[in-house]
Amino acid sequence: MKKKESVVKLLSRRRLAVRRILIASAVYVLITYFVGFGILFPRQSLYMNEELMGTGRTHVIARYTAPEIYKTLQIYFSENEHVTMLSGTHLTYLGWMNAFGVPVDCSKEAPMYAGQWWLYRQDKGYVLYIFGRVDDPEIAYVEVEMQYEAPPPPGGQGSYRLTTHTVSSQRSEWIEKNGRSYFLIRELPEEWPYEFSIYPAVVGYNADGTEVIRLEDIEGASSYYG
Amino acid sequence: MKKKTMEHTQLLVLSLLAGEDMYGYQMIVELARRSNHTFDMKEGTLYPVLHALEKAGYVEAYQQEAPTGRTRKYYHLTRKGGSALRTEREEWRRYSGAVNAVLEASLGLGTA
Amino acid sequence: MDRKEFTGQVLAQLRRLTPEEQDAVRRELEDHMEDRIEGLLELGWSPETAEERTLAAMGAPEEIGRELDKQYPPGWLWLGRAAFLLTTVMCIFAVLSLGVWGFAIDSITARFFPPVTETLNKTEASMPLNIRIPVGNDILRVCQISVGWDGKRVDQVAEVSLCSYDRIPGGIVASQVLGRVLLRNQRGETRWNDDVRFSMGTISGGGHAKCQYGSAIIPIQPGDTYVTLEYDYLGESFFIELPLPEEVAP
Repeated sequence: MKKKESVVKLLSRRRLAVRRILIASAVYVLITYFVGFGILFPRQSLYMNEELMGTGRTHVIARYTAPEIYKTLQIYFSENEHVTMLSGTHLTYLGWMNAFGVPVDCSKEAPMYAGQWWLYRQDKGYVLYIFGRVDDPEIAYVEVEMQYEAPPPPGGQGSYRLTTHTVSSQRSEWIEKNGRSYFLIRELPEEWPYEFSIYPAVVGYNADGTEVIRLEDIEGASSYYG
Repeated sequence: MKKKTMEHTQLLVLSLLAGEDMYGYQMIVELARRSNHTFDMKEGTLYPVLHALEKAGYVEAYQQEAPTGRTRKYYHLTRKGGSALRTEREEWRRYSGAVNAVLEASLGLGTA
Repeated sequence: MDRKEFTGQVLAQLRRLTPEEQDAVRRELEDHMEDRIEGLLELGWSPETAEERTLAAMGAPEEIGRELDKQYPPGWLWLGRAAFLLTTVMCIFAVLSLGVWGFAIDSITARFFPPVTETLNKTEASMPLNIRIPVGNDILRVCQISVGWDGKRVDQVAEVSLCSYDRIPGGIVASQVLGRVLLRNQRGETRWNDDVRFSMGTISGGGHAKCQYGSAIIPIQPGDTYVTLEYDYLGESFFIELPLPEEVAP
């Protein structure tokens, strides 16, 4: 009969802690990956958004907060060669949760690209971001015309666009990265008659005021939060 | 000359464990036997030494049935402890060698 | 002083140790003293003297206790506890979101048994395909191509059954992969995939789609031999010709 050698290993505090940390890390990575809850780092939530939008890895160029929507809402402005995007994440009891965002396709050659992102939270507020990338070094400043669809005049037909106001952004305010420039404009609703839908038009001008490129009906999204 | 970084008790314990795994009482007995009772330490003070070595990662502990039939907490020298032992042993040799050299030198002086 | 008082005085100094750790120390000291006393008994000493001599040999209990306590700094204990708490919380999340696991499993089974979408009323011919197209971090799988009638149009249509999932099993798939695939016929006509349906693998709120499937439909004419599948978004693009199955009967 083989004598059973009962050996019970006794772990020191450090070894026990290290083992627990390793297990916790593995469990954390696995569960956040498969389930998407319990995320402790907002940057990880950004990774989830990158996967969801299919942008691939992006580099964060700026970070903003939008307390009008959620007190903990973090907005990431990030980019890579083919994409410029905004994404959001906010802290809940289930960890950092994805608050979606807008990717702008920059893979087709153009002097300028632009996107818009509306955020609206019931009973709380609106925020509008207009952002983009400028590849043309000639463009010195960008103006965003806040247009709304005006109803046809009595007797006439065809609605048309009216500009309520314009917001401009100078090159000095832009973020430089890899020879590309990125701009972002943040608008709050008090300044425009929000009972109409707003269609921003983004126009790039060179230094002497000549229009270089005009982008209308820019791509984007509206996000409604409960 | 570098100041000794390890207490001599710790060094003794490590060298005991280099031979085989032991439990506390066994170490006291072995230490007394090998040093011919030169080392006379308070037995209870061995345990803070052992726990300090465990904390440093030089030894690991496990529970096992002793030859007496009861279970005892055994200590085992880790690889980290082994290399620390080698380093300290070298240090000690050099230190004691130097002391001896100084003492030897003084034998030729001031003796009538 | 007897053995119990001795260990009691040592343990009184062990403020930083957990109850389990204190118990381990007590047992270790008791075992030691037991061995020492036995040794003395074998030599012929009386039990009382053996205990007395043992206690004297052990040393001062307060000093032993204080020195032991120093070997237990709180750092690792709290790190270990924090890690344990994190593990517990994550496991609770895992259990609470059992529904979501289904989606992750879907994305894994889809690799071996891709869901084929068939919506045609009457199929003339059908051909299974097994084309995997990498699109960024995801894979678009062309599962099947069929020709037939969809009940809405008079002309024949071609239906291409598609499925998408992440490159890494169980990962998130980009919703645009299926959403922006274009199916074009030989006349260059195309339509956005209003006929592409998404599987239940899309969750709203969390937005963690794992596997999507659907089909794209385009009208074809007799004599057509192929249709093309195209995609160009965010720097990823492909252009693939898919042969129509069999011959398209007029």
